[in-house]
Amino acid sequence: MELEEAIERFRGPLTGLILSWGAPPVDAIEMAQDSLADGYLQRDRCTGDTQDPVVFGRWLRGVAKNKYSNWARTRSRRERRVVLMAPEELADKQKQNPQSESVDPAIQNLRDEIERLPKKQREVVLMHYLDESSVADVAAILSVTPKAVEGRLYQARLRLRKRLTASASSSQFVKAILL
Amino acid sequence: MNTNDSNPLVDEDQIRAAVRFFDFDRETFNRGVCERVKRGSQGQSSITRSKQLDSKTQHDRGGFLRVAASVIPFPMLNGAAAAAQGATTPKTLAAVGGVKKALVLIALPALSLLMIAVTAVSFYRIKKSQNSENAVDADVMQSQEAVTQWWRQHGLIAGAVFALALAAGFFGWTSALLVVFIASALAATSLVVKLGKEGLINRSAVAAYCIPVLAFLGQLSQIFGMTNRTALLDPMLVTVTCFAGAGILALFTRPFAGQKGSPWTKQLRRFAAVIICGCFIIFGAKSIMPVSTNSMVQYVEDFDPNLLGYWKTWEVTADWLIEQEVEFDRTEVRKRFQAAIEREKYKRYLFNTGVSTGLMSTRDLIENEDFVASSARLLDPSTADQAIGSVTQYSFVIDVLADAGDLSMSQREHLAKRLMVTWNENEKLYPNGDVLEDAEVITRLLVKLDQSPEFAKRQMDVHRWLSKRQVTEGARFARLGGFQNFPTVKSSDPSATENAVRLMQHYGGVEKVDVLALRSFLRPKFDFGWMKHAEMVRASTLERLNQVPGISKPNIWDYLVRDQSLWFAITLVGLCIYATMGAPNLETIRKPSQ
Repeated sequence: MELEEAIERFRGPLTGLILSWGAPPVDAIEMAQDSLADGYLQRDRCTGDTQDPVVFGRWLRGVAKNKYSNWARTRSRRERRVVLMAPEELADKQKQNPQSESVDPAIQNLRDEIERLPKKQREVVLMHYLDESSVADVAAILSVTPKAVEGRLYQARLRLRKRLTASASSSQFVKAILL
Repeated sequence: MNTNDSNPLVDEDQIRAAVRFFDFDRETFNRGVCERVKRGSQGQSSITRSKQLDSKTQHDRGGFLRVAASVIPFPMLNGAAAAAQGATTPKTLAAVGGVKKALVLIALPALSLLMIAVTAVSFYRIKKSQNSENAVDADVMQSQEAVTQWWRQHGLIAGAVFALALAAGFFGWTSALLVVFIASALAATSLVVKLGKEGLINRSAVAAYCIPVLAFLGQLSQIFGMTNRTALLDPMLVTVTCFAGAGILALFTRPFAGQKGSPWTKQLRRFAAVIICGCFIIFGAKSIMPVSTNSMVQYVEDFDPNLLGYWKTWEVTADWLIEQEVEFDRTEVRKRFQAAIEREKYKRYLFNTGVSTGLMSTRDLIENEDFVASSARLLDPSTADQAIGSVTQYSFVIDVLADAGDLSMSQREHLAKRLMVTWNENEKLYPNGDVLEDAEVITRLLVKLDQSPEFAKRQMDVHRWLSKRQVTEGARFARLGGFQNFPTVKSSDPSATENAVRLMQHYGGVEKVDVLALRSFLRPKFDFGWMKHAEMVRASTLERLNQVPGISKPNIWDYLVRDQSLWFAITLVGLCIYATMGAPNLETIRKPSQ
């Protein structure tokens, strides 16, 4: 598989997958880039036919998982250290953080619900919708059938709808009581 | 957001908006990947070369493992076990010749080297697997599938090795357990490498594999413990080691995480596993502690013949304490002894015990009818050339006569002469009799009579009997190294062994005996319940052996050679703990970033 094709196919699913494991967005992008580059450079080590997107996708998932594990280990080591930071510097950092920007409460609510989805559903949602990736490419990364991905997406959307509806009903009920 | 939409699914645009919470620029992403590839390509030639070298080395290691496995000298191990017994098994060595003999001699060092090599390579391969670039999402179900697949591929071979090793144990192949441990180490490594290649390593999966394997080996080693007849340490320690490893893994990992059931059930299973392992450890580790003098004193003071004990075995420990001038309270045990005398129809053996241990005084027996009649028969001048029939039954008579100080010099010489006739005729009249016991009694009585006729002849006889009566091969589930009462019985007996050690004290002859095998027979074991009596005989005999002139204690090499199963069990447990604790803990690494 050529590099350009690999990037186009797996850019979104791979980043979404690493996000679903719990990495922050900036680190997830870095790890996805590293994984694609290393996976491509070391494709000779893969025992299967890397021209096959299913094999290459699985291979990429392995490389990404290893990178994530290493990152998680170094993160836990970093967290053990106490870093002193000046208040001004801290304020600058907070400004730079995109998550600190104000967002639509409804969108934020949906994000929270996505975070609460079961693991398998959360990962397909992030992999599929992050970069408009195809279901087949998501399936290749996860080593499952496209039908399975479609099923998980359906279940995820169904679950999100139910939760959001329940959330909205309860907030309306509270408003009715208060007003 | 309109949440009252009739569509049961959330709108896809809303999801897109929700997940695009950061700036995901495709061009920047693509550029970043290309730059990395470019940088990597520049150094790829060297990377590729090093990878190829690495791959070649890995292949060589795989080859080494195969070669190592193929050089296990399977047909020669039985001979190797015999070789370990040293110069006392010339027949076993003589049975094979030339190259085979050389193989027998190198078999044990080869096993030791193989053991070290397997462990080192296993550690390396596990480390390599844990750091593998291929490590992918460690899904528990996938892990189980990989384990199942491994069993499909290697299960038959592994099962055959285990079954053969198990069967070999029943046929007296004492190194079988070692082979089982080597096979387990190879199997464990193979599985961990397989999981590593599949990228499925996680702590729970490895622990879920290692714990039952260690528990199985622990149970297996209990069976083999009975057949291990050359170990210096209690083979039960192998069981303890295996269960200690399983217990540690159950305590510090979550081995049931991948199984069905509620968290409560899983915790309960884990707790039960720890408790079971703990019980085995407490039960088995008891043999680590040597039998102390205090416990011997407590044993002789609390002895109760109703608890399947014999006064004769009690006498062995009591005698030892008396020789060491250790005081013990005879009040309670004397009452039980008197009760036994009243119950017993044939009292002579009890009289022997009573006189030698101070439970009976000379006064108690001097007017006894049996004593008076027996002493008259023994001292009858017309019997000077006659052997004493059942000399062990008359020993108390000579003891009492000597202690009372009523024997003249001629009577002493008369008794000594009869004892020597008994000594000389014993083997001719009773070739299958208990010569060691008779020899020990006669020796002790001659000392008491202050007579020492034909010492050189007696010494030669004793040395011959010692080398003939030590059991170095025989019954499958009996310990080797002790001495037998009767030549027709192919198992060691603690009492016969105690007699042999007493004879060694008097006549020497250490060079005629395989002392390490004898120590193996006298090694500590359970000391509770009805088994306590025999264990006390062993313990006091071991203490006595340590005081025999010319006896040396085993050195580190002796322990290394004779307790290979224990050392390899320890390394295997270490390997399992290393493989498990070194694997990533998914619950930690999957914790979402705050």
